[in-house]
Amino acid sequence: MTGQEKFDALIIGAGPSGLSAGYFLAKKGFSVAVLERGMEVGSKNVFGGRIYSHVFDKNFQGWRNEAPVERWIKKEKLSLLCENGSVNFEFERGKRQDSFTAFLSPFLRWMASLVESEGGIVATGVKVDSIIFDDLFAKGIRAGPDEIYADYVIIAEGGNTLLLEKHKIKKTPTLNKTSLGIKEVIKLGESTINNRLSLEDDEGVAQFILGQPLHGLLGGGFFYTMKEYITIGVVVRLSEFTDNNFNAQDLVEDLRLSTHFSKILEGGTPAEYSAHLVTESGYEGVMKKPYGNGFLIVGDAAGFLLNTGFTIRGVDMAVESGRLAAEAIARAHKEGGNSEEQLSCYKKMLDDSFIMKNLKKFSKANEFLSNKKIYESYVNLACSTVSDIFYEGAEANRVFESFKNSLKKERISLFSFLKDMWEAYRSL
Amino acid sequence: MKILVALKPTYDINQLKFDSEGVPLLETCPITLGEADKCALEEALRIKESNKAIVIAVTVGESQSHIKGIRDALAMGADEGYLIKMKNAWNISSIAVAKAIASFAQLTGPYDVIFTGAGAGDTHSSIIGPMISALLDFRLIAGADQVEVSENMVKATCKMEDGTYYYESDLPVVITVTSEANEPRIPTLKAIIRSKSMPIKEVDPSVLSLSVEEFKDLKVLKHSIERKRIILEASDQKSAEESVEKIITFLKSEGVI
Repeated sequence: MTGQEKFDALIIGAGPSGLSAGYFLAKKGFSVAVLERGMEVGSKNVFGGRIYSHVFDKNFQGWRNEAPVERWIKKEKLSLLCENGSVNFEFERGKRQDSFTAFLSPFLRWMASLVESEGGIVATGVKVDSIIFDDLFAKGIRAGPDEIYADYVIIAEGGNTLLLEKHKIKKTPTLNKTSLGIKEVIKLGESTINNRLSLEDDEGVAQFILGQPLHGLLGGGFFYTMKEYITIGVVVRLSEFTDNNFNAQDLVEDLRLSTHFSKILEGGTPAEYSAHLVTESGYEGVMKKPYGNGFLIVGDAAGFLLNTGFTIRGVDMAVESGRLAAEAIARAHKEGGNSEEQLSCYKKMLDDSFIMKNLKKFSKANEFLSNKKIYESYVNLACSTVSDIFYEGAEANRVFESFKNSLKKERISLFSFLKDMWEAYRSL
Repeated sequence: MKILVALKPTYDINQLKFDSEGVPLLETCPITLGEADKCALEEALRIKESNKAIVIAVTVGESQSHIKGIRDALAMGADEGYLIKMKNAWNISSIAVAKAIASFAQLTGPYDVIFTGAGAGDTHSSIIGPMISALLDFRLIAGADQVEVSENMVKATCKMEDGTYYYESDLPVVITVTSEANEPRIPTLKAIIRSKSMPIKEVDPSVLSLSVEEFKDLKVLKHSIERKRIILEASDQKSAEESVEKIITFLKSEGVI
C-alpha cells in the first residue's frame, strides 16, 4: 500500500507505552503507525535506570534473550548522605532477579523492531502538531503539511503533555507536581564496575539517595550500574528551583563529587548528559478518564508513574497500559466503533491491572513524600543517631539516648516525629 | 534522465564529543547521512522535480545505519534505494568503495548524472567522486555550490578560495556537491510513511565482481592545532604603532601575508 493515508490506529510517541500499544495492535492485525518526534526512537527519552521484568515475562516471549539488558539488579541500596558520613541500607537479592538496568534508547529500538516485525510502521522525525477532531471525535493527526487519518488515536507523548494540554484534555500541571530529572552517564569499564561494587558479570546495583548533595531540596538521587557505564542523577521537584534559586546542573555535580561516589567514579569519563520532565503527582495526577471519542491515553502522559518512596516504577506501567489500550481497541473494533463508551473498557482494564492497584495503594505517598523534613532533618537525624550509636569516644551511648540527643540536635519534637512516622506507615 | 546519488552514513560530527585525551567518543555519537551527501541528494531531487528524472540512492555497507541512511533517502524522495552489501564497510579503502559504486552504476545504468557529497562527513577525503568519474570515464565537476541541468547539458558554480568557477559540461557527468549548496528537505510524514513500504534492494558484491581491499584504523584522534598565544600589549600611541609593526613582521614570517 503506497501513500497510505489512513490507518486503523495512529500512536503519538515512540516511548515504552506507544511502542507497546503499536506492537500489540500490529500483532492483532491492525494497521498502525507510531509517530516519533525525535530523529531516532528513544532520542527524547531520558532514562538510565531500572525496568521491572514481570510485564515482559508475561507478554513478550523469549525477550530475555533478545532485549538489550545491561545488568540484572542484584543489590538494592538506600543511602542517606550527610555532612559527616552516610547511613546505608543494602539488600542483596538471592538467585532470581526480576528487574534490570537498560538504556532506554537501545531498549526502545528493540521494541520498535518488534512493531516493525509485526508489520507496523515506526516513523521518526515527525512532530505531530495537533490531533484532528471532527464532530468531537479524534479522527487523525496533523504534522506539518500532512493530515493522516485513523479510527483510533493513542496519545503516548510522555510526561510533557503538550498535545493533551493543547486540546484541553488535561490541564498544565503545576510546578510542584512536576519534577526535573537530570542524568549523567559515566563510562567506567565493565571490570572496574565489577571490582569497585563487588559484582559479577551481569549483576547490577540500583541505589536511591537522599540527603546532603541535594541541599535539602525535595527530591532524590539515583545511581544505576550499566554494563560499562554508571548512570547517576537527580530528580527534583520543579518548584524547588524557582523557590530556592538553585542551578539544576549543580546538583548532579554535587552528587557525583560527594565522598560517597567520588571514589567509585574515579577515572570515569562523562559520556552523556541529559534532562527530562517527570510528572510526580501520584494517584491524584492520574487521569480519571484516559480515553474519549476516538482516542486513548497511555503511559506517562496519563500519569502512570509510581514513586513508592524507595523505588520509582514507570516503564512496566507504560508497557502494560499500551497493551491494555490495544486490548480495548480490539474490543471496541469488534463492536464496530470508537466512541467513548466503547473505549471505556480501557479504564476498567486499567483498574483491574497492577497499574491502578499500585497507584491506589500508594495514593497517599505523594503527599507524604512532599514533606520536606524527610529530605533534610530526617536524613540528618538518621545519620546523627547511627553515628551516636557507634560513638568512638570514652562513654558509649544507648540507642534511645542517641536518638533523643539527635532529635534535640535536629530540633525535631518527639511528637512531630511520631506523627510523621505514623504518616509514613499509613502512606508507604 | 537517470540520476545516481552515492551516500555514506557517518558519525554526526556536530554531536561528536571527546574525552580528556582527545579520543572521540564514537560509541555515543549518532550516525547520520553526511551533510554534503544530503545536499547532493537534494540537488538530485530538485532536478527530478523540474526535469522528470529518476533518482536512485546507493550506499556501500549493510549495517543498521546504512539501512537507515537509505530509508532516509527514500523518505526525502529518492525513487529507489540500494545497499551494496559489505561487512565492515567503514573499514574498506576508498578505491574499493569507488569501484563498488562505479560497477553498480554500470550494472543499473546508464546514468546521466552521478551525484555525491564533496566530502564524507567523517574522513572528508573528497576522493570518491573523482575516482568514480575516472573509473567510468565520466566528466567531473568537483565541489559544486550550484547545479543546473538541462536536457543534455549541466552548468555548475563552484566557489573556491581563489574565486568562483563556472563549469559547463555535457552528460554523463559526476558532480560532487558541497554542504553549502542547498538546504536539504526534511521529509514530511506522508513521505516517511510512503518510504516505509518501499523496498531497500540489496546488491551482492560478487555481482559487481569486486575484490574488497581492507584497511585498518591505526588510531583515531582529535585534530588540534597548538596555539601560539603571542600577546602584544600597547598602552600608548607609540607602543601601539610598534605592536602593529611587530604583528606585520610576525604574520610575514608565518607566511600569512
